[in-house]
Amino acid sequence: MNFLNAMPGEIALAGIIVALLLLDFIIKENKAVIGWTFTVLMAALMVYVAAFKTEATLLNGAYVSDGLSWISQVMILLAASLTGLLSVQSVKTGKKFTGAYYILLACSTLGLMFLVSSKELITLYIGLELATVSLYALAAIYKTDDSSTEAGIKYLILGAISSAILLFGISLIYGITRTTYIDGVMAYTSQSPVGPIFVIALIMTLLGAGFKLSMVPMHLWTPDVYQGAPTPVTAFISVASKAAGFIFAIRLFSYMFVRLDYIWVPLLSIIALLTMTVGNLMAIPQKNVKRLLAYSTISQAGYILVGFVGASVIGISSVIFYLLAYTVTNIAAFAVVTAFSKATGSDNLDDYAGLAQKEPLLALLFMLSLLSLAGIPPLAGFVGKFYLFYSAMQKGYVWLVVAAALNSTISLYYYLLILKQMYIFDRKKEFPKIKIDFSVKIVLIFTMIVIFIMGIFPGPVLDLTTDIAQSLFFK
Amino acid sequence: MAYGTFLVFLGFAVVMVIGGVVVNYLLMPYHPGAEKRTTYECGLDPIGEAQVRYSLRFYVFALMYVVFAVEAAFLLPWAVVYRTMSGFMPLTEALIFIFILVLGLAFAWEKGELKWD
Amino acid sequence: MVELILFYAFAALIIFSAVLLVTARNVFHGALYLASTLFGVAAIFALSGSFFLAGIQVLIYIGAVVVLLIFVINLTRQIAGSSAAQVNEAVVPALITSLLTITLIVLAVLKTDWATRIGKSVAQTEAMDNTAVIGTQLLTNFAIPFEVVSVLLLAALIGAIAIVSRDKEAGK
Repeated sequence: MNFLNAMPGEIALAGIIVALLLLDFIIKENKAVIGWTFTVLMAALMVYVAAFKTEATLLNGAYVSDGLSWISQVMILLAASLTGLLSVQSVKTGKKFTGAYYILLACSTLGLMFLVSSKELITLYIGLELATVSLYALAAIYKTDDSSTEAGIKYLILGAISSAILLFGISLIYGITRTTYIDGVMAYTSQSPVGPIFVIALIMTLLGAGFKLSMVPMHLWTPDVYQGAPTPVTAFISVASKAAGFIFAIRLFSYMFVRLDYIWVPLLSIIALLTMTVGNLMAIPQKNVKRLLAYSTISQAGYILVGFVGASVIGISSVIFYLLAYTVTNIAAFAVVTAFSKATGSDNLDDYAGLAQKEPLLALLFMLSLLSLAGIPPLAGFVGKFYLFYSAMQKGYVWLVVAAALNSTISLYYYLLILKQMYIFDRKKEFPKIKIDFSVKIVLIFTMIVIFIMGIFPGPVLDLTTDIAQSLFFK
Repeated sequence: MAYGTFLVFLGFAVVMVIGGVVVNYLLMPYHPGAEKRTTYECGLDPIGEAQVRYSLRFYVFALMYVVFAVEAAFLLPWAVVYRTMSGFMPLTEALIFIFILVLGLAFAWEKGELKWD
Repeated sequence: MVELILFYAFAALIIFSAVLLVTARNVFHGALYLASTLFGVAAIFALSGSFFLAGIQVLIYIGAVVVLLIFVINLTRQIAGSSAAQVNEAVVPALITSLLTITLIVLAVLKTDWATRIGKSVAQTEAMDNTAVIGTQLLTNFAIPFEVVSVLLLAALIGAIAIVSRDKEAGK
């Protein structure tokens, strides 16, 4: 049982948290150093984790390093380093707590990394709590700003309720199966028939996990939190936390409850439909860009849920692929919002009017990321969506695919509304010249390259995700 | 019968507390007066309501108390089994656990939260 | 028999104070009802033979969390002084939802055959010292969550300080 070999990424990240704390004690004036240190260390750790893939099982199968945890850890670290880049030059927390901001971000990243590698329900829950508790504080870090405080409080209360539901579900599962190990529960479900109480436990865990995914009955926090939290934090919540939530859902449903798919697949297909539709319909009248993107991420979660409904290996593979595409695309969109709101102090959609005349590059980048979210070829979002819908078709869920395609069309409508603001309308008031910070430039260049590569040459990435999905079931 | 001792103990606890009050009530001389009805018989008269607004400082102290109470709760079972386990593993685990929490204390100290200015 | 009576007594205490907790007009009283609810839970733990959990429940929840809660209530004079109702306008929908959920859970619980299951597990754990079992588990099978909990507490502490502390130069 050698921890250092089996989980180098997590141990290194714990070390990074300590280092950031000490750095915060030492550096009194130039606090930007902490942000850059965070970003560089996260990027370095990502490269390390990506390059040295480990295969190990710890603590009698409670903790694993497998393909799924590997790719999601890379994804989470990527999101963390990009969030660091977005934050360095735009988050103003005051000198006293700049260090705390990055420490909390690192803690949240650590929690998400634990979450994706756990195969035991209590370990999973602790990882989930570490990730969310840090995010509650991060959402409210602008304490003099009312909307940021409101975001923190709403996130905290609804998060606590969903945690309670999840814990109730887990305790029922333990009461029935007398094990908290995912493999043990899976073995139980394949040997014994399940009663109604197990169905309730399943629904409760689904709802608890659904909070992170902003799945429809649990989506109410999303718009307010996304709008009120600092934009880089919003980007992190919408990307890393959501990706980890989906990996959590894969471990629970596509793996642990795989024998019970006759219960959760019909349920999830209805929830997927609701999530897409509610997200898209609510997005149309929005006037605030961050709020609009919040509803857009709700609908994106709905599309990803379609992959869960699909055939197992190809479905999981498509979910992972879409998560990768969605991560870079959403970060790109929020990078533009960060740059715009830093220069103008506004997130209003009306203020984007005429952006294309004055800042053609920024407008173009925003357009590309929105079109990728809408699923227009040759961008990454198109391949991802196509593959998701294809997996559901395999399983015969034609009505769901038709509904998802219709929803994509609706989503195109409000993405085009933003484009209309930027490209067709004239500006109503003058803005200062928008200077894109160096760090945000790196984010934009990087994400654009990835969006195009994944859109035009998806082959290698698809092979990778298919391998991972297969290795989950066939060792 | 596992609860027998516990119930006897509980019974004694209740009798000790209530019995003390009751015996006191039975034995005490009773001479009420306006002076005696004030909150403090001697010293200054109380000003304002009892429910005053606390300083925000208390929050951080109370919060740190919660955090370290939870720490103690986790170290208790560790202490119970510590002697039965061999090797340095249990000691290392507890030391890491405490070290990380001490960092939190150091953070609060460094940010001046422990000072009452 | 004594256990059964005690169990129902404490269960009644939990429900009674929980109802008072959500309907209390004064938040401060609500916090005290919360303490009484949590005490009932601790008693149920003790009745189930888990004395460690019972102790922790009293130490952490009543001793620390409720105290913190009372501090926070006293931080805001308006809440402490006024008697704002804790019940909002959506009483009827809330009642219907809660009753439906309760009915669903109770029906499912009644349909499940717990007797064989619980009998087995009680026989297994009764022989051992509960606290020692938890300690051994924490140091072996749950070593990772054990350490992660300390990071969780660290994050909670840092986050709370960052939000609460006065910061002269905090910008928007």
